[in-house]
Amino acid sequence: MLVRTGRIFDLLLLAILAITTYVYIKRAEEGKKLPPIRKIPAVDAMEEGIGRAVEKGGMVHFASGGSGGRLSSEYLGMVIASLNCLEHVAKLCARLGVPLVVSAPSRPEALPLIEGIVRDSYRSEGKIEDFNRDMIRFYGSDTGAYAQGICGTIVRENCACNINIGAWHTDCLLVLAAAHDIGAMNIGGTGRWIMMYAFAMLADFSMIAEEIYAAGALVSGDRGVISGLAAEDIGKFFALAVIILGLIVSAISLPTFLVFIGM
Amino acid sequence: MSITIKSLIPTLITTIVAIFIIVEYFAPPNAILGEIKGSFTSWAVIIASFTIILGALYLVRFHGLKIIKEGLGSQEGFFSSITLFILVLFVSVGLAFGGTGTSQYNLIYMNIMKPIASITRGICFFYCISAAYRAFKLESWEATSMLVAGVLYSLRQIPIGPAVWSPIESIGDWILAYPNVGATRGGIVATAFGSIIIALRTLYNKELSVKLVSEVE
Repeated sequence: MLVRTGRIFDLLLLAILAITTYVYIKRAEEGKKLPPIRKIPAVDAMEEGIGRAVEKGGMVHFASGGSGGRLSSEYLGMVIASLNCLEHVAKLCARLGVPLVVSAPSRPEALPLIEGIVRDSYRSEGKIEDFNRDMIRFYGSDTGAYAQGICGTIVRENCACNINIGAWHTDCLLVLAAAHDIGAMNIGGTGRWIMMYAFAMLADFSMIAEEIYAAGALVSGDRGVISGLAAEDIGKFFALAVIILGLIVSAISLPTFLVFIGM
Repeated sequence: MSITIKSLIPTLITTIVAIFIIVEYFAPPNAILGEIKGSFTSWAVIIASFTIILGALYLVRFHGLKIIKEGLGSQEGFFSSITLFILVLFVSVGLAFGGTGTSQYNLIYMNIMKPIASITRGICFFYCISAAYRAFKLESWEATSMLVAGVLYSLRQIPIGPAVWSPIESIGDWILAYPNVGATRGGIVATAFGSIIIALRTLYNKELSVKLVSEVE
C-alpha cells in the first residue's frame, strides 16, 4: 500500500486542487481570460473607511486576530489573506496620509512579515519617512491582554476605521464593540466559522468565512493570486458532486447504487 | 544577500518542510518520517516560545518611551508606569521564588491576573448581548430570519420555554441540527478550500505578500 488507509480520498482531493491551482496560475501568467469575480462590499468599504478617517482626522486600526500570526495549521490561509489586505490598507493610508496602527497578533511568528509589508507599502507609495516602527504594536501572547491592549489603542488614539481580518477568537467581540462605541467604522471577517456571529453582529461590513481569502486575492490585484479563486471554485464543485453522490447512495443504499451504475 | 537568494531560501525551506509533512500524512506509518515531522513541528514550538521575550521587550519599550515622553504626572504616563510596575512585580516574584508554580506567584496571579481576566470575559458577554440586540433589529429579511431563529432557540434553551410550550424543544433542536449544521458545514468546507489554495500558492512561490517581503532589500 503506497497510501495510508483511509486517506486516498484526501490525496485525490489535494491532487485535484494542486493541478487546478497550477493550471490557473499558468493561464493567468499567459494573460488568458480568467472567470469574472463578483464584488465584495467589504473590500470597497476599506477605501471608504480610510477616506472617512481622513475626514474625521482619526487613525486607521488594523489587526489580524489573536492567532492571526500563526504560520501553521488551518490559520495559515487566514494569516496570508490578512497580510494581503494589510498591504492594501497600508498603501491607502500612506497615500492619503492617514495614521495607521497595526496590532500584531498574540502569536507573533508573522511579525517580521507584518513589519516588512507595512514598511514596503510606505516605501512603494514614496512615503517611507512616514513609516515608524511604533505603528506596529505587540501586546504579548495572552488573548486577554491582546484584546484589552487593542481596545485601549482604539479609544485613546481616536480610531475612525477599524479593520479586523484574520484568525479571530472571542477577543474580536471586545475589539469590534470598542470601535463601534467610539463611532469607528468596523470592517472585518474571519475564516473561523465559530466566530462569524461576532462579525455579523458588530461589523458594518463583514466578510463571511472564505470571503476573506477572496478579499485578500482581490486587493492584491495580481492575476496569479486571483486565479486561485477559480481553482477554489473547482474544488467546491467537486465537493458538491461528492455530497450529492453521498446523498443518493445513502438514500438508495450502496448495493442498489452499485447495481444502478452496473457494477 | 541578493534578492534572488533572499526569495529563494524561504521558498526552498517552506517547500521542503511542506513536502515532508504531506508525505508523512499520506504514506503508511513510518518511524523515520514521523521523527522528521516531529522535529519540524517542535521548531514551530521553539519559535512560538520567543513570544514571551518579544512581548516583554515591546511592553518595556512602548511604555518606557511613553513615560519618558509624557512624564509620570500625566494620565498616560501614570497608567504606563502601573503596567511596567506589574510586569516587574510578576517577573521578580517568578525569578525570586523559583518559577510560576510557587504559592507566592500563585497568590499574585490569583489576586491580580485572574480578576482582570474574569472581568474581560464578563464584558465580552455583555457586549455580545448588546450586539445581538442591534443585529436582531427587524431591518431586513436576513435580520428577521436571525431574529426568529435566535428567539426560538433561546426559548428552547431556557427552562421556562419548554415548560410553557413543549413543542419549542423540538423546534429548537431542529434549528440546531439541520439549518445550523448545514450552513456551518458549507462554511467550513468553503473555508478549508480557501485555506488549501493559499497554502498551494505559497508552495508554488506565487503568494504575493510572502514573496514581496522576502524580496525587500
